[in-house]
Amino acid sequence: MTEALLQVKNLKKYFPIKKGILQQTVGHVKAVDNVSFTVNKGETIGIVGESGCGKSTTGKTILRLLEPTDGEIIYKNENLASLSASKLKEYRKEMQIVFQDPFSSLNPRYRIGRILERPMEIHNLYTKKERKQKVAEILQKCGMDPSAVNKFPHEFSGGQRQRIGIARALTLNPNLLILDEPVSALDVSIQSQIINLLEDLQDEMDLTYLFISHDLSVVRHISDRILVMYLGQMFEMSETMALFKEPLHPYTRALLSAIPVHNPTEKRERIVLKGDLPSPSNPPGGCVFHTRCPSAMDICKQVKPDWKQAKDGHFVACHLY
Amino acid sequence: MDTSQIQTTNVSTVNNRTGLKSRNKVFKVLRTYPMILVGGLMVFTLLLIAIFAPLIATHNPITQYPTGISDIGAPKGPNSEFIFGADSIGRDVFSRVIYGTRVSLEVGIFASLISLFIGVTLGVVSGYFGKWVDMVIMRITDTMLAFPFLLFVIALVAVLKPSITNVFIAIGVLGWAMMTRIVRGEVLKVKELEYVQSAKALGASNFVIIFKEILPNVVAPVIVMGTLLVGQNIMLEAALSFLGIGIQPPTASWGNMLQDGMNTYQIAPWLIYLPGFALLWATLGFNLLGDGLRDWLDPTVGN
Repeated sequence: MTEALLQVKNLKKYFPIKKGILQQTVGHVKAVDNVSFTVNKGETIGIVGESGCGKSTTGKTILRLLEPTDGEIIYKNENLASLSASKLKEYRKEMQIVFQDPFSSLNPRYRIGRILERPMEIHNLYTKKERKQKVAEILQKCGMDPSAVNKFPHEFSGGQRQRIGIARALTLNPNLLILDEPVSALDVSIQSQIINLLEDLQDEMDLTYLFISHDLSVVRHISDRILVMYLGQMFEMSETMALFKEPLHPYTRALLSAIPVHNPTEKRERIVLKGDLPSPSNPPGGCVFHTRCPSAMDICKQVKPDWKQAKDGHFVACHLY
Repeated sequence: MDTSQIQTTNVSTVNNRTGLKSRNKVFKVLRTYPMILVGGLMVFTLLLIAIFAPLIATHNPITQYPTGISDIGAPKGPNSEFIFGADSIGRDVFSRVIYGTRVSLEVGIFASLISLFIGVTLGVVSGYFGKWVDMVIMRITDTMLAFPFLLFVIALVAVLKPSITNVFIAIGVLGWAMMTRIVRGEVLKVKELEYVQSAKALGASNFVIIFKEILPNVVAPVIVMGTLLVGQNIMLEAALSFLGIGIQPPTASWGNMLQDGMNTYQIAPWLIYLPGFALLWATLGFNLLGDGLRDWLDPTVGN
């Protein structure tokens, strides 16, 4: 099979809840709880889930923008989770992140040229002249005019800023790009442009994507495999086609049924979940989804379902299977 | 070779253009925020007076002129020789106020710079590193704010022996608490922004992140606070000198001039008019300038 680029094993990120004058820890928000998956070279993995399910936290923890509480992040036989800051710097070149909000992802005080040269400055790569050249190249690759270097971020539209954000992430020639809701803040027409750009860049630069989004139609379009998360836990993971054709987990089914249909005469069963997302600081026992699950059984309240392979390459955590 | 030349010409034209643009922008800002203009002019006149004090002053500020005292030993009021009168030992009030401007600005500005330096450093460290560092620095800041400030300064000046330098050191070293809080708040806000996260993901060190990503974005409130602080510190210096522990006679300071005139102002009111007016002018100027800058740089903060 294809070569694994990144392996995430039992990743956990707990945020302590502190209370009182002495700031004692009274509990934890389990933002990411026991997440494991493998990313193969060249593929795109989509992570979906509603807001607060820990998909962004997973992305940031993999890059160690947040310190993982537990678990392993294996990249090139090295466990990134336990690397020292100085050693980690070397690997930072190889994995980059693109953020959701193009308006806060560029420092308003600098011209685009400076912003794009900064990554190379940090890693002491190339001479000044080469850097300028690189910046022009990368801007062109991202569909921007190289004259953009003399402008400030506020002179650009959201879509252009997002292109610049992608350009910055690509200046160091990374292997893995974590895309943290890269199109959620953009207009639909711009979304498709950015998605096309990402696809082109993936072919051209041999990139591997971890695409975090709550927009299923976007994820469906770009992903090879999809991971569904809920309250920090993995619910289902499968090839995109298989997942959309036959979602196994009741939560995934509900999610998929919420995608608007293009044809108004087409009738479709709409599964509406009752209640709100439970508090991640006090998740329900057993299966965390049992409070809202349309097909909950007695066992769901008692026992947490195992992560098992229901079909070939189709994993699910549910007692139904 | 050729390309580099082309590049430099490009850059210079761009700079010219931005130069023009920025000049227009300055006018626009001044028109929209007249407080900056008024406050700025007031401060500017003070600066001119301080710089050209020897040219403006009509007399030596510390010489006691026999002609300034009447036959019965009372100070003479405004006359052709002493346009704002003379004080009880015959010194020219006008010239003393002019030279007092130097003292006031010196103390006001240097004290503020010291406060600014300490405040920004502690604020950035506190906000950026958080956790126990933040805890310790903020508790120290709270403690500083809990002390009656004037009393604290008096104590320190008393230990240091009063002199211009010691006065601004004392005011500066003790006056950083508000600055620390403001900067910390700004840093907390900025450090969660995605461009800072992105710098982190690129492998930038804390040093680089603080100086290149965060500091440029907390400059605005620091400028505003710094300007307001100068006005405050001028008042504080006057208060200290008034109480007799600030600038020592015969050096002229608005505060000790007011103190001089206090006992006799009923018969010789000119002794307090001009220093009082100068003090009002200076604090009003810096406050207007600071408020104007705040309205411009940070429109989200109301008064």
